[in-house]
Amino acid sequence: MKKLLAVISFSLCFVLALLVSRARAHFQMIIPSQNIVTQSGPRSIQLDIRFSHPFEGKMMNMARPEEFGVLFGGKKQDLLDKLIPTRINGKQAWKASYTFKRPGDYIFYVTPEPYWEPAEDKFIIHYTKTVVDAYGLEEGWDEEVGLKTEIIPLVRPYGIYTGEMFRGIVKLDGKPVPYAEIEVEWYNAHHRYKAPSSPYVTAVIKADKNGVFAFAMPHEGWWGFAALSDGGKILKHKGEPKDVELGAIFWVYVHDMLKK
Amino acid sequence: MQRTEVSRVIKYIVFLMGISLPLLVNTSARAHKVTVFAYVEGGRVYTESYYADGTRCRNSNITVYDEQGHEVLTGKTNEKGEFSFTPPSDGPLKIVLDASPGHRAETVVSESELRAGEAVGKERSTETEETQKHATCTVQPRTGNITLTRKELKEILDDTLDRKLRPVMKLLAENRQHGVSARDVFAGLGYIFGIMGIVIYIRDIKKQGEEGTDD
Repeated sequence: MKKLLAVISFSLCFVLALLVSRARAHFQMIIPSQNIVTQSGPRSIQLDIRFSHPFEGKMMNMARPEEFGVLFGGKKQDLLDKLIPTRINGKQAWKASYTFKRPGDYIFYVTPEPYWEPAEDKFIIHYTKTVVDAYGLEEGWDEEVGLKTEIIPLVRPYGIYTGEMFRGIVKLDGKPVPYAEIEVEWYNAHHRYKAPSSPYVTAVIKADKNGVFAFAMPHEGWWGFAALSDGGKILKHKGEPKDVELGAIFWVYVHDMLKK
Repeated sequence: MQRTEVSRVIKYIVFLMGISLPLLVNTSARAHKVTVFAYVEGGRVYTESYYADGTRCRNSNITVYDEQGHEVLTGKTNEKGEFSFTPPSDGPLKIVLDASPGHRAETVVSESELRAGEAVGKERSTETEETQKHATCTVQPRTGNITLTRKELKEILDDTLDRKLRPVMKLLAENRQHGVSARDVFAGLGYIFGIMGIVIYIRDIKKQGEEGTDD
């Protein structure tokens, strides 16, 4: 009898561990195939747009977003019709390609449909951005897209080496968010890394009273910053008002120093 | 353009250089990398020259070379750092910008870009308004046809295909990486153990029922 109980509790532990890991940080992702475009290299990029847990590689279905576009030279260009549906690990995701005609910084942004997360009993809306520089003109990366909530970089968000500091200001409705909470996660693109224990999966930092945060990125690759705010009970699930998590997400690439 | 107008423009440029040179010497732009960007539209090559921080390279020398390294034409950028010209041939061109000592940049306009640019130009005649503002320079096109050997053609094709397919190959490689993770395996084992546990438990209850309950 004792043996049986041991087996059952043992297996329950496994199932529980699985459930707990599923409740980890969500990140809307928008990852370009390159974030610095040069005249000698390819002039087009592929954008990978998905909703996932970037470190653990778990994916969620992502509906066709409400908004997808690029801000260049102070003008917004709608790119929704460029989205191509794709499936990754059996989950709905999106991709798009973009060709750079003129030099300057391009801010790509996506506003997804509200995502209902039953495990947390709330909706999630992650307004997500990333910046691509084209042809050596480093102008425009600090512009505001004007999303409901967004991270404005205080560090030029490309050409960053491993170990450098990223700083940004969290805004909600155009105003800085004092002491905003920001989750930081590294995109474990090839599943080569594991976390020693669960706090290592997602770093948690807070902004200062002016909504400014800083984080030094210790490894080459893509780093996601998710500044989370409470959006109030503005949406209903099955007729019942539910909490909405508003996220301002920003993706930054860091590169190791190269030897000659 | 008439002769008097030309001399007026030259005087203006000299005047501008005179007042901007002392300013340039101490600007922070010196710390930035300089770039000459070129694109082809409507059979014309447009260039933009700028420092990384957005400062335009005004009145800077542009020299265009052909494939053999011969100088094809020269010119100067305008206030916005722009300069455009009609390419003398379909061959690849090297465009060199000489903004100031230590601020030199170059770019290459390939044969395929020159050809594609002509097609783009035909589709987008509406953009000419903007492009007409460019400083202009025209040269007599060189005569002579271009012949390609089989090998050259292959190289061009390979190069273009490589460039175009690179992102696709990267995506493919990335997708291949997403396999079954250790957690998936453990979770599967967990479910198996769990179901086994329940089955054994039920069997045990039945057995106890048969043997009588003296537990």
